[in-house]
Amino acid sequence: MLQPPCLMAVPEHMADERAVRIEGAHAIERFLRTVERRAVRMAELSTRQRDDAIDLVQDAMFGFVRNYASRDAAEWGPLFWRVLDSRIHDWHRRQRVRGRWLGWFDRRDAEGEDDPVAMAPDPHEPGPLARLADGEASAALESALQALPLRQRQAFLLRLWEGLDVAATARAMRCSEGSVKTHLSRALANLRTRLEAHR
Amino acid sequence: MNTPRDNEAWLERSLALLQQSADGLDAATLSRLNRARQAALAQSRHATRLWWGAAFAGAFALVLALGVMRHDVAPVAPPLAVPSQDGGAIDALASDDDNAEMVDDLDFYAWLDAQQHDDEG
Repeated sequence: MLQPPCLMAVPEHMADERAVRIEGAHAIERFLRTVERRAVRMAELSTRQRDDAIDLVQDAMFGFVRNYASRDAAEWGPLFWRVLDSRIHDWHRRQRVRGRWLGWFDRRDAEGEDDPVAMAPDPHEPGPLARLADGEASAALESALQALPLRQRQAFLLRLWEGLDVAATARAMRCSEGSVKTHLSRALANLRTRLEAHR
Repeated sequence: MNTPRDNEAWLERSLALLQQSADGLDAATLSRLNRARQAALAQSRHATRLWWGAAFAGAFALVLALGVMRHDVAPVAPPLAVPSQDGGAIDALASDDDNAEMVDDLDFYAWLDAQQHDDEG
């Protein structure tokens, strides 16, 4: 006797494909869970603003899932950080353009309400590190990391904090492995100098 | 003078502080991250559905186009010769594929027909 379509057994190969898709979605979600906190902190060290950092991470998640979800899971790490690094660079570019415009308007209307100095992040705001038990060292580290040039900071965070190897870091930063080593070496020297008093 | 061990110590301490700051993110931030993650994954599912929809629509359009082409090239039965009073013989000849070349000489056959009518008259 024929069964209605809804009761007919799903062909085995289709059930397998569906299971693979579902497992793939779960794997991506697990991966994003593991990187999202560090991603927010990494973006926040660049933007110095939590809201902007979360927006950048959200953009990076969208871009990563849209373009790279079908790639092998072993490639996800460098690819995700590459997308986020690209978003952070875009953010800096926009800020520079915005800064130029704001500077121009500021000269025209010195008493305008949108004072970029007032809107700039407070350099004395200690940031999340400083709210930890070892507040002084944390504040110094936060400040030292923020003071690094973007490429040096990214090399330090990706290579040493995220634990990518040199090749993966170079891929994430879209530069040569030699550049990664140079940026990292300079970052370590800068951080060591700045943190000298807190060691 | 800094020893390698000193260097390792400040570095390890710095990385540990960084990790603590990531682990200690507030609930509002974690909630926003959760929503962002779900939205990114939902976008992926939506894109997959759109892809399948487009694939089915394309396949349907292809089948439709093939059906129309097949209909156009299907052999058409030759029209039946309908004998008429004046040109019946000519129509009958024209409907015969084997004698199709005779159609080219319509003037000749019209003259021949007229000659036969004259002879009978």
